[in-house]
Amino acid sequence: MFERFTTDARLIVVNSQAHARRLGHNHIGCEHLLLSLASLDDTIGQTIRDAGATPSAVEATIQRLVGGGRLFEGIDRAALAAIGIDLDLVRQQVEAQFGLTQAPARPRRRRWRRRRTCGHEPGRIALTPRAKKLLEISLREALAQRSKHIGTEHVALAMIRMNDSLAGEILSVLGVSPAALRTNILGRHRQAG
Amino acid sequence: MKMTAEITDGAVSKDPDVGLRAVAALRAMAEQLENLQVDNARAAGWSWQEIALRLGLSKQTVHRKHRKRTGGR
Repeated sequence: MFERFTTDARLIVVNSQAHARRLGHNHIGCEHLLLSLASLDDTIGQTIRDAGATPSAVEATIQRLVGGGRLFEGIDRAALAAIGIDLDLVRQQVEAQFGLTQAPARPRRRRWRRRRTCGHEPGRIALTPRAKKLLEISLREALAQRSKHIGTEHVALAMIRMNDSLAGEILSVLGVSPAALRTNILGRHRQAG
Repeated sequence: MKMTAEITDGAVSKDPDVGLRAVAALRAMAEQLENLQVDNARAAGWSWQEIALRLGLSKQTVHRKHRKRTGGR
């Protein structure tokens, strides 16, 4: 499937796996692909960041929408300290009792509840069906532009096209307009290439 | 207790930035603790009614909020 991907486009998938693992998730979803795209060290990454989807903002939104991170992660500890609550102390107490460090995942909304990973191999985190679809659409984006290779810009355009994905939801939470982002990516890419 | 005094301090803080952020953080913390405790109670075989009684909520409210995560009926 990845024969036509450029090195950078392949790196998006590789980095997504690292992001998923770091966040304690057992799947690679569109949200992790978005996080990798926003972290890209090229004009595409810059365009996405300029639109307001910085890696830290994307990650914070993933934490909020998906959960599953460390217990109490993302909670404003300084605000609690101001009223005399030591969040780390509370966590220590909880972990001493329950012996766990993962926050219970937030209940997913119905349309994501049935999401499951497929093609799983032991030791590797699998792509969700929707993330696979996104990569397939990036091939179509490349063909539409008569490009022989699938580059980071095609993955980005596919991500924008998948407006019913968690990535789309995150962009809308961050106030990023998909249409404007698409125009900017196409514009920047033409300038660059 | 020193901690109690400090909590009162924060709660009556006239600075809205301090006060509001503290309330939001407390709510987020309470939310996660509630999930943890409800999961634990369900795993220990508690009924929704028994859990709701302790939380001071109706059993329908508790069930609606937690059934998806715990997978309980």
